[in-house]
Amino acid sequence: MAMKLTLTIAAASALLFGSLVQATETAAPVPAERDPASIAAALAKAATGNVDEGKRLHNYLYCSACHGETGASPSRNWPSLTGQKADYTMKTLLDYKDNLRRDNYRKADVMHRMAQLLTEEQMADLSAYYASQPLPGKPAGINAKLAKKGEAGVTPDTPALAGQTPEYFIQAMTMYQQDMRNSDVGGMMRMVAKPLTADEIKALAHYYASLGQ
Amino acid sequence: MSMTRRELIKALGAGAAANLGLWGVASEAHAKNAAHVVIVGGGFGGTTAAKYLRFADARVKITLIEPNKQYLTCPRSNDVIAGHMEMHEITFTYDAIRSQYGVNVIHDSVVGFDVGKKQLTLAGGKKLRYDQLIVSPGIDFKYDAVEGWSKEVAESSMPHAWKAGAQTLMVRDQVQKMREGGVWVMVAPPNPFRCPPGPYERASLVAEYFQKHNPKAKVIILDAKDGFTKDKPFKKGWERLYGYGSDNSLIDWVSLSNGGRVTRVDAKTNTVYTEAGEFKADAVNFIPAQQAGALAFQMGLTDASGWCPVDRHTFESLLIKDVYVLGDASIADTMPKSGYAASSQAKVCVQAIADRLAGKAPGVPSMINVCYSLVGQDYGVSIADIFKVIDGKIAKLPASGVSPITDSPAQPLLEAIYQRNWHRTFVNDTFA
Repeated sequence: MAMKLTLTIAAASALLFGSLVQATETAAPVPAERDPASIAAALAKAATGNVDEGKRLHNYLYCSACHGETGASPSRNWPSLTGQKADYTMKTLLDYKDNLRRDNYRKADVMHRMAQLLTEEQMADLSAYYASQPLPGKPAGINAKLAKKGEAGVTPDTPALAGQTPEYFIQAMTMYQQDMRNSDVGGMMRMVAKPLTADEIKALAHYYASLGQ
Repeated sequence: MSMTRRELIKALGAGAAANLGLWGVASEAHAKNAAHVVIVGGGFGGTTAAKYLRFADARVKITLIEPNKQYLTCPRSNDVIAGHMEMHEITFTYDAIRSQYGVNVIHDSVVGFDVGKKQLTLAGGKKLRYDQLIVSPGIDFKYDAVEGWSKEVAESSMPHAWKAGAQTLMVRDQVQKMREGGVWVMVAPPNPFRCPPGPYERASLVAEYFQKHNPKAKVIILDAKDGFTKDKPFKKGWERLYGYGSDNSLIDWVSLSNGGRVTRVDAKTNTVYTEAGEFKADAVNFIPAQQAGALAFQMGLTDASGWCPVDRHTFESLLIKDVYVLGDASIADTMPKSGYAASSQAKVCVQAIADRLAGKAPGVPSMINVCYSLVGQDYGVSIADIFKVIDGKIAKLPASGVSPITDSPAQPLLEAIYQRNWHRTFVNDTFA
């Protein structure tokens, strides 16, 4: 079932960036994790970002091409970044830069190459800009029944997931399940994702999306 | 209908067993009264036509005739020349077309064409009758256009490499084995020709190769034109990466006005003679003037221009009824001769055929062309055009455009990444 879902998403994203079918290539080696001290030091910078400079970079570096004019994604393929906690965006950019987040999926190449253009200060600026924006609105096509189902036993936690594009959420969770995304500290998300059925992931995706502002 | 059951079973031949595909068309495609569409030429145009005709019509019987068992894409063959890719990475088969889309793929060549009987004869002796015929013959080279250059010269010393294959590797080897500080000359073709940005991408990637491995070597482009597609972003890229415009530029471009037109070559001495004087080279990549593929001439589909006039709404030949010409060989006005354009034309053409077979009138098509080119491995430029038939001609719509020149380091980098993704999705759209 998980594979079938993956393929459905693949069909949707095939036009722009090739398909998830490509993800069935040999799994990327599990990257080394950062040590907690270096994470803490880098993330401390996230709090010092300049919102205006982040806004400029968002346009200057063409981030807006995929993530939307303000960071609220117009596409099923890319995540919304508005309202995201600054330290989460910062960690993600650092992971991309150092090739710790690969998602075993060519889309990560784009972010890897883009993050290499950035200084840590610029990452902090971008993180601050997205954090300063309101959470994304409710994406179209939320299934209220599924959203209700997703509520059981789940609380919104870090990172911000409210209003997240449900297709992107499903992609991310499916990749955690299959060890294709392995940048989660301590393997926590992989542990959480593995027991979930495809239907449960879908319900969660609609639940979080329904919390959009 | 034009075909008896016996002929049909014979024509399907061994391929019929493999015709059980994703689309569950096997039983319908064998229907006694199904029309037979024959497609000649398994490049981007013909192969896309075979696949998308199946989407448009589950019942129609489709035969694709292509002499080669594998297709080598011209897109990204410049990466092979510069040593970034291997031939197998640009090589594709017809396996999915055969097994997934219920197309009878015959690896043979057309040697006879009877317009009255609507019948083709193949080199192997098989005769095929069609209801509708699509011809996607690609290009051929004008071997006699410049004194001193010929097919033999191309194959032995001054390759064109303008169809991916053995000559691609010849150019690669000439670049890699060039003496230190050598001169690599490209003769760029006059309009119209296949892949308008292709020569300039190739020159760029050769310059990048020299920059890394043979920094005193030089690339000289001798051109029969004063401009080329995407020339502004190309030249900006050359300026940024290879010092174009400075005294020690890795690339020189000699335009028509500056005497770049080639009048003669001497293969023995590797000398190229132009209106601006003679150029002594260590290796020459001679990309000649072009015309429609030989098959188009043999079948009587070309006009005095050497290309094939078509109805722009359907790509049906203006010279022979029920025969359609796709891709580089067709006269498509503002549409460039590119694989992507051929693919877009194929989709329009097969929809028109499906409409006709269903007794409906074909609509007014929109078409697209997208081309990404590399100025360097991390530096891409692109063009994206949307076309519509207006007053019987294919016109570009205003939304079309070329990469803007900006100072953002992200822009050319993203375009280089998109180029690779573009190739992967495009070949999947055609061959998978």
